[in-house]
Amino acid sequence: MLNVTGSGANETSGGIGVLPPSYYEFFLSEVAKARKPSPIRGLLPLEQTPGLISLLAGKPNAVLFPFTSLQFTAPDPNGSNGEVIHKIDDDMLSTALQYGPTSGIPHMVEWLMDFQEQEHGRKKKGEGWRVSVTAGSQDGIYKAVQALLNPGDAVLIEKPVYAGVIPMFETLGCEMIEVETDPDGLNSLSLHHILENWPSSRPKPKLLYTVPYGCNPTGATTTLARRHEVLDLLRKHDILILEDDPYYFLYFGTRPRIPSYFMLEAQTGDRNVGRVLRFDSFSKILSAGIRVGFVTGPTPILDAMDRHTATANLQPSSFSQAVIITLLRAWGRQGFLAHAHKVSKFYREKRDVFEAAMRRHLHGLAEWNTPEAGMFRLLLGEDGDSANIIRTKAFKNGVLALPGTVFLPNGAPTAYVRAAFSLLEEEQVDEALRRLSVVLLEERRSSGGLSSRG
Amino acid sequence: MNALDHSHHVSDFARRYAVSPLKGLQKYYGRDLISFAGGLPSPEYFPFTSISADILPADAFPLNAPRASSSSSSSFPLSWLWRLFGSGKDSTTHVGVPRSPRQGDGGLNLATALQYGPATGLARIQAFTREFTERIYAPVYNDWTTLVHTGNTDGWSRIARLLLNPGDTLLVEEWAYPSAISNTRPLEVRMKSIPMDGQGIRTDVLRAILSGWNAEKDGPRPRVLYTVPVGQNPVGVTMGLERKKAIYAICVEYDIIIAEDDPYFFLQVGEFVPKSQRKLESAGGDNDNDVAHFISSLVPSFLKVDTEGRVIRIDTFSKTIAPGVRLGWFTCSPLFAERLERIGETSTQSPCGLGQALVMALLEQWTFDGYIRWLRGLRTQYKLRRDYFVDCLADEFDLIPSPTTGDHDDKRAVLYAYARGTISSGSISRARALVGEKSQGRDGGRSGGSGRPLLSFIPPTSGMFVWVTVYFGDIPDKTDEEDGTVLTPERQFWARLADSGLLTAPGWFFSPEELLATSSSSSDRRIGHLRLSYTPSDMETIRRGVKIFAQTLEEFSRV
Ligand SMILES: Cc1ncc(COP(=O)(O)O)c(C=O)c1O
Ligand SMILES: Cc1ncc(COP(=O)(O)O)c(C=O)c1O
Repeated sequence: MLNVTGSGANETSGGIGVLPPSYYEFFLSEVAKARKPSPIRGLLPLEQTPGLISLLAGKPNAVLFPFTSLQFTAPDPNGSNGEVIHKIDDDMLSTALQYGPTSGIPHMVEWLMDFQEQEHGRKKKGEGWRVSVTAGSQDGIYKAVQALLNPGDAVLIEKPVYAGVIPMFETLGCEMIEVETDPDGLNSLSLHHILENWPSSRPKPKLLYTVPYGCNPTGATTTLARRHEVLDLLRKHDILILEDDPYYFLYFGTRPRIPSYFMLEAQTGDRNVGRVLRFDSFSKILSAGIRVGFVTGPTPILDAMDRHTATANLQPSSFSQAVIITLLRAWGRQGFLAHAHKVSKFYREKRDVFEAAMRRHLHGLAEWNTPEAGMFRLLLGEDGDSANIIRTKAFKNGVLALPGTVFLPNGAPTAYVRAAFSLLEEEQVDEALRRLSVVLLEERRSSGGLSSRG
Repeated sequence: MNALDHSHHVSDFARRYAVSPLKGLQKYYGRDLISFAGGLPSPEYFPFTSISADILPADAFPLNAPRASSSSSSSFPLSWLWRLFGSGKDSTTHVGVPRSPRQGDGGLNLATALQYGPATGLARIQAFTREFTERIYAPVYNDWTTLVHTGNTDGWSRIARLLLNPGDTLLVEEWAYPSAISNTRPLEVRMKSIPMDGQGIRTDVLRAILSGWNAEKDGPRPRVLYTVPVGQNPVGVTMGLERKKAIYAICVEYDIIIAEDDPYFFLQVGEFVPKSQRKLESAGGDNDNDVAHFISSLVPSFLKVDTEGRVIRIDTFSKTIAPGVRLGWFTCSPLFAERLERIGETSTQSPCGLGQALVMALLEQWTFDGYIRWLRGLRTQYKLRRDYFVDCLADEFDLIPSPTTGDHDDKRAVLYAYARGTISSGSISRARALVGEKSQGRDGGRSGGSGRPLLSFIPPTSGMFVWVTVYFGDIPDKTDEEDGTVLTPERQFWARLADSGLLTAPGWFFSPEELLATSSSSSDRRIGHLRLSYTPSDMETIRRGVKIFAQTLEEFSRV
């Protein structure tokens, strides 16, 4: 196995080393290496040359687009109740309607680079990373997986894992190695155990997929100490990290925010950066239907992902991006964060309502930890099969939660269920948990199989 | 009659998709059920509280091309177009997406558009694509269905994953849309390209390839044909109904699935008529508002001959409304649609909800017939641009027509372009003898100056491109001083054009063999190709571009 840690890295000022492009040759999949840049898309930047006439691309003429103006309203994030009208300016309108660059419209990419620089303390220049806009995080993760894994490769995932990624690994024929999790998030001891006992005859996993804030479905946020340990282990074993962080902005805990892996890699250990591929999503704070997210990380990996995009769907929607960047520019970074703060406060209140209702109805019937982002996960007894309880009894009683089995690659039975509370009003929560308690009480009476610990 | 069972065509990859565990739960919704299951974000704090747009009226563009006047050819269409655009802007309508759901709104509201939605798209868009397909393409089997995607690139990419296994051979056109080819590259798929004539894929060759297939030597017989039948990208040719029938029959015989990538369907602008013979005419000769008449003026889709459900058609709004919204749809059998949906769920998921909602608001404002009217207006616009571009070429070169060779049903003329004043208009036969077929072009010798053609092309009857064949004669290959790559005359000429301020797409971009680097182009280096896209620029720019093109070519040929 290639190992260029330390010596191979290029030093920059400030003591940070940047892993060189050659480092990623080992990591890029055969498929990614086989992809060539799209010839026409590769030339599109030339069209910006002043005075150049282009008969290059099959772009429709902008005068033939039926939309002549576009506007939306949004509340002022800085407290006042007012709604503000945002008009998409004429330049941005033609950008919105036309084909655009594979990695995202330039204004958007620029804004996001600045944002990441400030939010995660990573220098835009000289640290070997950039940003690509994706059609949602799901799209970005899918392309990262395609860019990094070969059929049959082993990949480290959390147990339980966000169900949306299981088919990606499954269809690629990857072996999913489950790392244990607990209320402190990813269990570094479990990771340590897996890696230290890895058979020397087998190639090590190339990457770890993790959701560090409000993990879906456990709701756990990985602690700072854990993050340090995980990062150290991954460095030692030369493993990349896919940091899928859609709940980052929804952190509603009271303690100071825990730095992202993307931030930490520049601050700890040998400070060689380039192992973190970070996924941000606008789905939870601006709109899920708008299908825009962004990926931040080493340029060689993003280049490979862009090459995939260029042939798979050309680009994320220019239209969505134009709407979002118009809003972000008007709000600025502070406005955006103020909005995110409002949203997370809202979720915090929802969580408190939910938890209070659980104490009322489920005391002694179920166990849970209090999430600081994301959703609740409930344990309904020790070794029951929640899918059975939920799909039949709870459903009949008019309450539905998501059985934990869907978050396990092998679909094994589990006593966990995931409970999302974002959409419900207080009375509904109360009623639903009352119904659930009836089911659980009945269940316990008939089988005696559920633990009574609270 | 329903689609035949084509499940044996589903790739090993596509078979592995289980029903998405989360999406499968949707059937539980409804009645007095309180759900913690979905995990959707709360829309309460999505900051978009309204979205609206001004739109052109459906009849913003006239159906009649303006009368060719005796005034300078460069000035009339230009001024006319600008005037037209200005006037359209005056009479815009304001459309918006309602904020809250209402009974029967089919998801056309902000709350739905901003939230996660199923990969099948907004109900209203689903209904529209169905009605549109039914009325325009009239599929012949019963259980066809439609499914949204995020543009035809996404559509074809999903089709490739649906059907192709490693080691399969994909049938493609001799020249092909590069993204479509590159897309299949990581799938370890081979390409078999089929020569084209003025109507696209040659049936005689297609049949010969399949009947002579040697599975031992060449691997499994091809099961998939990828085609762009209208305004083919890059060649610009269009397949007539008879040709489609003949190809379909072969595909039935050899059990082949046809992927019909058809972004230029509504840009069918008709035969090119030289300026001197042009009359006041409407785009397709239809002046009444009869939808049926419009439809009958368009070459039908493969769906019209697909009795067995072996066609997967992809439509896009990219060329008819706006590419930035990334929206289109499949039409195919339910079996294929279900797998295509699964494949989409793990990657791009559904198209942008806001885009779907605004496009739908636009279509509802226009009504179905209004959209047809819009498409007819567009067609006139593209016809004008095509005519203008060819007129510009006619101003720079002497163009001499000659019938194409190829299938019997093709009567389209090839235009041979000579440097002005180098050939008498009576020398058609001589011109043919000099270039005629590719093999003869080899002996074409030096062009320019000596009465030999510089280039040839078939004026496109659809789409956005003119595909020119350039005759370079004896210009030798060069070697790039920096990286040692061999520069064919085509590459040299392309670079020369770029240096002169004109960006074009060189032929090798569209060669499946070159793109896959399976062969280092054994093709004839004395003949090169360029694809010229005449739609994005305004008229004045086009004229300047063609001038640069002509001058550079003449200089280049003179060496
Ligand atoms: C952990 C995780 N990753 C990714 C996603 C998908 O995000 P996006 O909407 O940006 O594709 C979700 C959505 O629920 C999620 O929970
Ligand atoms: C043949 C062909 N297919 C697909 C596309 C891309 O279409 P979309 O914007 O719908 O992805 C084009 C556009 O240039 C094309 O020419």
